Amino acid sequence: MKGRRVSERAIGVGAIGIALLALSGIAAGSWSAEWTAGIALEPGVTLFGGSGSTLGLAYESGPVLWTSDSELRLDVGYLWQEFGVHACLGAVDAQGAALFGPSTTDFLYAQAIVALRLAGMDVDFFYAVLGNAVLGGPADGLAIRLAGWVGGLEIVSIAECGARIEDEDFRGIDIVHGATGRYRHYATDPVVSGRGFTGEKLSVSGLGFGRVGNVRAIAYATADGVDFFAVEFENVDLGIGPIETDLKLAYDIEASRATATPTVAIGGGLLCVESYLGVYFGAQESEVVGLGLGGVAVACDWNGVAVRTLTVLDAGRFVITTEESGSIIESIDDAVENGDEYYADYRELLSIESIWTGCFGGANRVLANTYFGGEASSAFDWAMSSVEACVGLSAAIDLSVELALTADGLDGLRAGVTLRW
Amino acid sequence: METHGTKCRSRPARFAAGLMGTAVLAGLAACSGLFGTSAGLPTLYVGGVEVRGREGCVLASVVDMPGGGLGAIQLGKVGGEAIAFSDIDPASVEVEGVNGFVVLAEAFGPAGGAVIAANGADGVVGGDILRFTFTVTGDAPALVVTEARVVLATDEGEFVETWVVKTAEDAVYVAR
Repeated sequence: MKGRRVSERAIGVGAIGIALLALSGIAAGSWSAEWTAGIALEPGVTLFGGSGSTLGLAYESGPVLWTSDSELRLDVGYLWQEFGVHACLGAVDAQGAALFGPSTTDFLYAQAIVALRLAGMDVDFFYAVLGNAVLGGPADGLAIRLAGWVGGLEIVSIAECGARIEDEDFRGIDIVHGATGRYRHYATDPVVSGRGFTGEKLSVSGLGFGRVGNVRAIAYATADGVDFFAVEFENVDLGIGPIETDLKLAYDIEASRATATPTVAIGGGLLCVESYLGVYFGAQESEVVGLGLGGVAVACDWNGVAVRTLTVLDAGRFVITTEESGSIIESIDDAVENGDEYYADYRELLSIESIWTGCFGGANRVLANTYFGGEASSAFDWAMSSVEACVGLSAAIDLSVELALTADGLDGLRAGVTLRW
Repeated sequence: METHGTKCRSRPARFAAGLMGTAVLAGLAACSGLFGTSAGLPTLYVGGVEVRGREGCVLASVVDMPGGGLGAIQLGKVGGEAIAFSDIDPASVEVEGVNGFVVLAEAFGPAGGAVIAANGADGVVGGDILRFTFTVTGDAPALVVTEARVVLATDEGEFVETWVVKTAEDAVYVAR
């Protein structure tokens, strides 16, 4: 443990040094900043509890970009401070970040990623340390990702030595502030008990045949054996006009869980229908007792307006995740395993989003989400509606409003401003 | 100008070589266990109540469990409940096991709640084990676990003698 404290102190001193170096060079480079402040009303929780401010600073000197992000909340005070650096030098792209609590003694997390492009091959190194001020820490780990083409096949190998990295099947790590639910997201998740080799993920794609544009096979193994495997059939041409389908089949050996996700796209993605099928096993893992349709998602994107509906058909096994977790249909097992937040009692979501350039030159955005299924007594089982609107007055100023209504009345109201210079 | 250009190329090249060397050394060191973390005190973490609509949820998880991980947990008994709650409808409480845990017995009433759960597969060294869902009846829903009434057993069939309970107030930051 002594070694751990010394290591964390060294990281803290290093981060302070990085910050001082960045400050000492301000006169030579260019810098930019973004400040967001908001005031929030949360009736029934804590009045003005969600009010807070974030400040982001960036300093660019040649190929190196230094960043600083800090966040505070009115009700709980200072949440965290992140220092970051990103350098791009020819074939080498390196980035690092260190996250601290209210003081540098509260080291929370640090990550370093070095990406190399060598002779058509991508070699990426990931290293992360989780401090013991975070529940789940201390931990550290390394992962190496190799990607390249052999013949017509793309092969991606991820060797894990105590860390997992973000990809299509794994969502990385969130450092969550427990009292507020605010979080910082990172790609490298150090595994608590990880020492030495902890896992290997291999994916091969480019195996198209017949009417199947591409087949992608994925397998993930740990020191205990194969953990899961999946096969994706992409761009399957059914020969029916502009209709194209994808199919993903996945089997989690450890959890004895299988899912199938067929997707139908019409008109080059103008209309997309995605369904979630669960395969249910009996007492014996080899015994399949049923196949159930857990949910259906329909999305339509036209002329800057995106309309999406999510319908959960098997409420015992599938849920709709929250906006922060992507607003997707997911099995409860996957949601818990991935740490996704979800609405347990909402069965349907109607979402409309529009983004356009406003009269003042800034980007405007409106997102309206309406959930059904929570209150049997309300019209159409309406449960909750939330509206987010962001108006870009210019490239430098955004105004935003968020409103949430439930059957019990106003659930939350937030107004904010973002300034950039 | 050419000399200057050569200098510019050589400096980034040296920097890149340094980064590569550092990354490789860090990787080798990590793989050889140089940065291997010693296991901390076994901890049962009872999260805060997360309210979505009228439904509330609490996740119970463990960290640094010895003996192949947590294999079984007893949260009190009828008449000696380990779980107390407020602003929660007792009749609405449901418990489900996570990460292989199966709830063997549960009892919830106005006096509190008791649960026995075990893992039929491998033990859980670190991760979620139980998920409580319930209907919220007030503005300050809370679910509290009394440490003295909780018994933990490892996957290897031994009792966990020394451990602690942490709550959302103890753990300001959580990795998820």
